[in-house]
Amino acid sequence: MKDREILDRISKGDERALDYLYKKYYKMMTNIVLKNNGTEDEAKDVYQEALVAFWQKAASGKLVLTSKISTFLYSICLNQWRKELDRKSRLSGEEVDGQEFQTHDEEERYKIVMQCIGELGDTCKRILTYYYFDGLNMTDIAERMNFANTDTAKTKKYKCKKKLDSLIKERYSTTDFFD
Amino acid sequence: MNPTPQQHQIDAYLRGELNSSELRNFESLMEKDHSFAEQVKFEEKIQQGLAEVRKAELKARLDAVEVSTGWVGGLGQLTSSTLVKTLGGVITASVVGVLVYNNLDFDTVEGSLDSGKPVSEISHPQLTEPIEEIVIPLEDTPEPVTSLENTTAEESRKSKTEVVPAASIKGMSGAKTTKIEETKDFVPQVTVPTPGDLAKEEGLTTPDSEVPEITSSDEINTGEATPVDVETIHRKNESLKYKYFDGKLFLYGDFNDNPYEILEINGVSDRRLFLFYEKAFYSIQITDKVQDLSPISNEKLIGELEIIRNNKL
Repeated sequence: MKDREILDRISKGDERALDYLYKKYYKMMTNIVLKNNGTEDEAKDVYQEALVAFWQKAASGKLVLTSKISTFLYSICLNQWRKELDRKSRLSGEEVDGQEFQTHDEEERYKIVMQCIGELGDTCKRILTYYYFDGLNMTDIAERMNFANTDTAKTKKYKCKKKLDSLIKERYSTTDFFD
Repeated sequence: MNPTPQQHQIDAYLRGELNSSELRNFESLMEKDHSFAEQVKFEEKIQQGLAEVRKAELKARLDAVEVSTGWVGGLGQLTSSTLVKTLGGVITASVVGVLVYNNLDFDTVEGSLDSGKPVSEISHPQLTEPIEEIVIPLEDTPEPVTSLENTTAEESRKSKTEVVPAASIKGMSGAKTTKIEETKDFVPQVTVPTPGDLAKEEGLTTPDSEVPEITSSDEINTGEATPVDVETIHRKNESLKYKYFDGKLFLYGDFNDNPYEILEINGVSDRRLFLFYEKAFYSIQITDKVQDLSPISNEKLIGELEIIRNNKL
């Protein structure tokens, strides 16, 4: 499969193209980490993170690829692993505490939203994640979800978001979210 | 009913779609209006959470893809490398050269070549036989050098010994036959929503809709449990592992010899899963990371699970 075809499939939301990329470059990308003091798990994490970032950009149509996909992925993996190594080397006692506090805080927020999203149905979940993560516009969402038209997608997205907001606010005051 | 202009603006801001002047106005408004700034932060957190959910979903999908980490698997990644292209080109050129050398009568063809016509188009009756001898091997050889490179690379990938769940992408548009074969071995698990799934909207209907009323809605899960979707990924000589995310349970290990059992206990607000395999019970927690399966050691719990299991049987 050529790069152009892969991008085309991703822009259509075909997640099998992601599987294909994952398998194709797994060894090449994970070696970046494995040959630089990383473990297999770290290597996999870095590669998956890079691939998901690539998916997000490609799915939203915001990606202007000036190199091969493998080169692009390689540079993301390399940068991410450099950052991770840098973070590890900078970890001192105080910074660890700060980091843990932030991580804990983030985890709490993540749990809150996760719980509420979990209570939404599959359709709402998909609309909201397509819109907010994949960066799809309403026309694309309508097409992908087999809605009658763009207005239907807009209405559903609005209702789903409103429902999610209210679910979160029912259980937690908004101040829980602020630092 | 439609999002307010302010909400629309927040969305555009968080999606990075504001132009420079709109961005300046937006940021100055945030500085002046504290409640507006808080609303933006609130939206940001929710959107971050949604992003995390989607990321976890995509990563869970990738985790289920079996990859080969041996040297054979690496061959598949060389499909576009210069080395393979060069080797493919050299080998092909050698084969063609040898065949031409062995079969072509240079004295006979010489005159035609001078005329500037391609060899395949020579129509002189005296040249028919020698040319057929040349053309047949050429047809068996995969076209020009660029195509040969791809063919060589594809064949090297076919030599991999990975075990991947059967899959097909035949339905995908625009793919040539040879490419369909090439991509058969990854798992198609896209769950495309069906129109029937979208026909339940009652939970979200609001009276002030400006667009034609939707008679159905996305329903909120209220407790009726759906069966757990279980997928086993065969891995020999490894400890038992699992991942349970978004209602789907992945089991990694060698489950071919003995059957496993899933015990599902549905409470009012939660669902607990246990695995019974080779005389041991294992607890399953929601996780999007692959975790080791550790046998339960709590005797009381084991006793209760045994009762449930026996009742089930």
